[in-house]
Amino acid sequence: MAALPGSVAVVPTRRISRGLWHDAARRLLRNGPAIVGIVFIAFFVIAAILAPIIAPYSPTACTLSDGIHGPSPAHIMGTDLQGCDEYSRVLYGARISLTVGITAVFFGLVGGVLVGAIAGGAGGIVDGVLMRIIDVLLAVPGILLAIGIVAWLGHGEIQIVLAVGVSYAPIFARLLRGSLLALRESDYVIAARSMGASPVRILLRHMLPNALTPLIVQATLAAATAIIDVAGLGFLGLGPGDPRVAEWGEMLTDSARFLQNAPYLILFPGAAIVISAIGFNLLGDGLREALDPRLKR
Amino acid sequence: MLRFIVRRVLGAIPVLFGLSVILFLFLRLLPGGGPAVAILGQHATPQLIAQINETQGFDHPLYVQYLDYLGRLFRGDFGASVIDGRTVAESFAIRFPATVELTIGALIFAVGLGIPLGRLAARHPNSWIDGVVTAISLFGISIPVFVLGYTLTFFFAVQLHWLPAFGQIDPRLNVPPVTHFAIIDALLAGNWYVVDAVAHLILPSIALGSIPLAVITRITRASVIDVSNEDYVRTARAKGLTDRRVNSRHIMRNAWLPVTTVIGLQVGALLAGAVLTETVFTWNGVGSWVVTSIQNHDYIVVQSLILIFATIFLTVNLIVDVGYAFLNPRIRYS
Amino acid sequence: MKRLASLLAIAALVATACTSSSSTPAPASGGTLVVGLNGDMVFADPSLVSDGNSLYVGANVIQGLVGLKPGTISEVIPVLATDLPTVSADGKTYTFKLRTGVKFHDGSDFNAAAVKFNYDRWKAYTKGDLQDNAYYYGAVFGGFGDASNISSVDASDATTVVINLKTPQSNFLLASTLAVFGIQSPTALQKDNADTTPLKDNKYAQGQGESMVGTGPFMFKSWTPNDSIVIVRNPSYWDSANAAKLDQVTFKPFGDSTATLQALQSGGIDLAFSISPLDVATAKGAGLTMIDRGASCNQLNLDINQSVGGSPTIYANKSVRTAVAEALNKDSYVTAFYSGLGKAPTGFMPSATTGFKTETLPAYDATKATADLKAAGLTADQLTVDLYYPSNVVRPYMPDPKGIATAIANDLTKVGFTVNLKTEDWKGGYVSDATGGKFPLYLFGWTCDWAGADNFLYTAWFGYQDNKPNAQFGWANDQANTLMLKALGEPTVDAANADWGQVQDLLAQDLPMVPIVNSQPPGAMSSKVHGFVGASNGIEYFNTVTVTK
Repeated sequence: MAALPGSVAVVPTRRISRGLWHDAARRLLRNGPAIVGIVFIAFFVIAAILAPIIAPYSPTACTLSDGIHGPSPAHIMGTDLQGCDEYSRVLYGARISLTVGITAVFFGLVGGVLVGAIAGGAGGIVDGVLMRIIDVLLAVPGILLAIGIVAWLGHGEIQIVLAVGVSYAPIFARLLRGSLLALRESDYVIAARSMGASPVRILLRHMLPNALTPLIVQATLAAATAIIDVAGLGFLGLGPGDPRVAEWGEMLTDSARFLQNAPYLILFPGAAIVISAIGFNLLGDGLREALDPRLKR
Repeated sequence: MLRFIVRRVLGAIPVLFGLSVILFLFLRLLPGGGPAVAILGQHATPQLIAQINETQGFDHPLYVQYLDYLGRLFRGDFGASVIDGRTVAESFAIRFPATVELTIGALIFAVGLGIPLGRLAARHPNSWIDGVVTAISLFGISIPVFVLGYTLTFFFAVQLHWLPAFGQIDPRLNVPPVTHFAIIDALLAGNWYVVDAVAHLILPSIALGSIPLAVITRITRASVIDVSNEDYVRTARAKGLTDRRVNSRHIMRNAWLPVTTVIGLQVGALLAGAVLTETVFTWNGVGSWVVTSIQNHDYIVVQSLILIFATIFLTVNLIVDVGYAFLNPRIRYS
Repeated sequence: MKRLASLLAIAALVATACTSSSSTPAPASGGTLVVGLNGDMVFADPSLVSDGNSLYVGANVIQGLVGLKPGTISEVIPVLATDLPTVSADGKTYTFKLRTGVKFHDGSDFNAAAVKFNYDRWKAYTKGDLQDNAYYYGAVFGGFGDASNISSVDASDATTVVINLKTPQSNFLLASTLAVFGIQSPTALQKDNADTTPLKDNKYAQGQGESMVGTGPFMFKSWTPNDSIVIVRNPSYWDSANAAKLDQVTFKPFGDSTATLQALQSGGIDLAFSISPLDVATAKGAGLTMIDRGASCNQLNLDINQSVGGSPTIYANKSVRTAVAEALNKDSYVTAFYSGLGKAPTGFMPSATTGFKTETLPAYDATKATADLKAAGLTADQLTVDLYYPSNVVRPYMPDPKGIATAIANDLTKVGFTVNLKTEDWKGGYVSDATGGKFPLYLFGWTCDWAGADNFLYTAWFGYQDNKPNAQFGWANDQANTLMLKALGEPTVDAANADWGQVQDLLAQDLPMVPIVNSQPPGAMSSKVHGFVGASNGIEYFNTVTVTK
């Protein structure tokens, strides 16, 4: 969690034009693995949206005495300990899990961009102080940071979103600052500066849009890790408070103890987590290659 | 170079100081009855909690407690657990070796398998081999560590009885804990007990090493492909050098740079991953210790441990940076 | 991999070769038993602990004057005393006759002076680390020093000890069976000064060197914190008929029930003190033997607080409490979460408790519950309730707090409540908020310290604190409190039990809590383990155990 896998900074050297975005999109759609990633994600997004229509049962109306039955025609993924239909819960779980994962990354991104932009844009003492704070946060293994935050704020979805988000923010901040520092010395920024553009304008109009591309890649990859981290928090007993709400991480951790007598309870939510994480990873890699043509071979 | 190292070491001091302040405030402001509840369990009535908080000084003003803590820290006294009265230094001496062994095991697994896999994939880019390697690495980062851990244990320990399910060594062997490095202790005890210690290390190393494996495979593949397209490699090939020679003399030497950096970064990820892995494998290391200490509100222990974690992380990164400079003489530190 | 396995097997053979050469499947003496515990020991001085793991180990090493018959929870037998004590008519003087020829593990003599030394030591525990950890002495005898109900302990001769109480105490004999009141060697206690504070400097309590020196069938050998505790056979145990058969017992702390079960199945441990009830079917299927724990000594309740923050809750209305009780299908919880190892209570305590009285509790009846709730005339707003459950904890009576809370929430929803499930960490606020009276409706329970009515009804639940009703329940009933104080001070157990019966009648009348289950927490062992006797109060002895190869 502290160091996101595959975090390789991509610093674009040219100003991004509409043409470049267009090129990037075209390259992305030609990238086989990335398409697979998009399909994986789209699959779960559609499941999340259509859950109320396609789910055969309510995810919360359960009968205790129907608990722990293997897959059958009535319950194609079986039932869990509370007697809930596992298939319906996996479908509904897509809503919470994707939302939690993506929102957590979004929070981290917003925080990271704010801090990174201020640090990279302002430089000097502000940069020094902010980067020391970032160093402090980065020095703590991410999951410990998240454990601490949940211990402090209490259990709940919002708390988990914040905890995971805060543990990602320093990574984004440092990445953005690095890109901004590199861009400050680039020809077109120097040109804009010499033409008398205000520093804020240079930052917002010229530097940020360029510096954001590596962040987009990183954020996509982080969405994959976020879904897994939320499950990890659940394993350590720090999941969201209401177990009636279907969420993959919680479903998985609650079922780890059924590995031997009801493995299907691990298989289905586990597969959902792994597949969606793979989806985000493939998409992230595709985006990276699409946004930095130098990598394309 | 020396100036660079000195500057980096000095730079770490305010970071650690800031961390100690944040940690202190954070821990003392945690909701709940404090460590008293961990001591009293079901007997924790408000009266008894208040009594313990009073006698243990948890009701003193925060700055007094902090100065007290800082004072002891400067004297090299990391304090003691409120729960079992054991000093942090003493428990650390027992638990840190276990985490070091696990981390090294995971690194050996990740590097030992990741680099060959990455090179293999790079040699046949976009082939089915590349596809399989990519799939393995994708799976490695996408599966939660505890699921992988339990599944490995279930197959290799419970079903096949090939490998042990938990701990660092079979308690029946009565290996005397001398260094608390299970492998070294087993070697000292003789009788080929070291085989047992190594066997215990295999499954946890695989579980913990799965994410670094994926990352190292990917970065190796990418940088080997990167270097292979450089002009000097083409020139070398054009000169008619054998593939083998080009590989060892030109490609790997240069591809090592990014790989080393990533390996260094992975140490942080390994420390974080150890938190989960040690819990799954009942591994008596620092990772599981910090989790229980947070749950117990064992202030002194958590504070000291996170400081130690941060110090290790900063040190490893410093070593990586210095190593990087050695490997790549083009880099000059100002 | 195969070769590795065979090398391992050789290593294991080497390790055990010296212990026994018998190849018959019949139980043999010798060998090592590896026991998985729920966590580590806290201190190697039983008088300073109140946690189950420390006492589980300690009870096999250190013995008291009296104890419980193995496998029972309230049958008192003499241990280091020759008989049960004679009690004076006023209930204030207990006279114990001691066994002769008993020696501590360090070779020093066990006698009346040693007993007096221990009792005087506990009473003199100083404020701070010692009193903070020695919960039981303070709780049983009302405090330390002058506050203690023990006025003096006299060693009238080498084999006679007289304990003088200030006021009669009906729980004295049963509470004396607690492992914390085990007698340790005065020589050993004085050698490293076992009373050293702070405890980080206390070598005896830390288990470094000579610690835990008692008279039991096993002797303390070593403790590597959070890794293992080793006890070995006492070759000169005073009761040769019951001497330990095993050479060694190694206790190994586990933090997770899945890991414990897998350790047991893989053969890494021989016996698990506890496994998850949800794993019972798996364990049986894997050929493991389940530990029969007999009568339950715990209870899970749905606790109700009638007054939170000084203002009455909806539960102050008895028909709401009755509706809650009727809404819960307790039998379905016993099946789903306890694998049937437990039963819905028939009163306010486990039925094997001394002083238990059967009471009629509201039966499961969702229709009646719906009607009762309607009759209470609550607004929709009032019908939206918070139900709290603890996170990061497993208790013997509560193997899956989250699951049980979910099932209860579902049952309450069916009769007309709208339930918000809320959670806090057990140690991070849950216990202190629950006992501090902040939760209106929550899961809480009790594992007996000793199986007496006073331990459940007074200590755990309804005794007034600072002359006010326990904030945990907000149940004001002066009559019950007076009766309980009377029962505690009765000179005989029988007189006390009559009082406790009346208290239970008052509880049934008012229904200040909803008992959910008395469980028999399951443990499991390999089929190679023989002679193990389980008990549900958390004290089990290993002297009778053998392991076949």
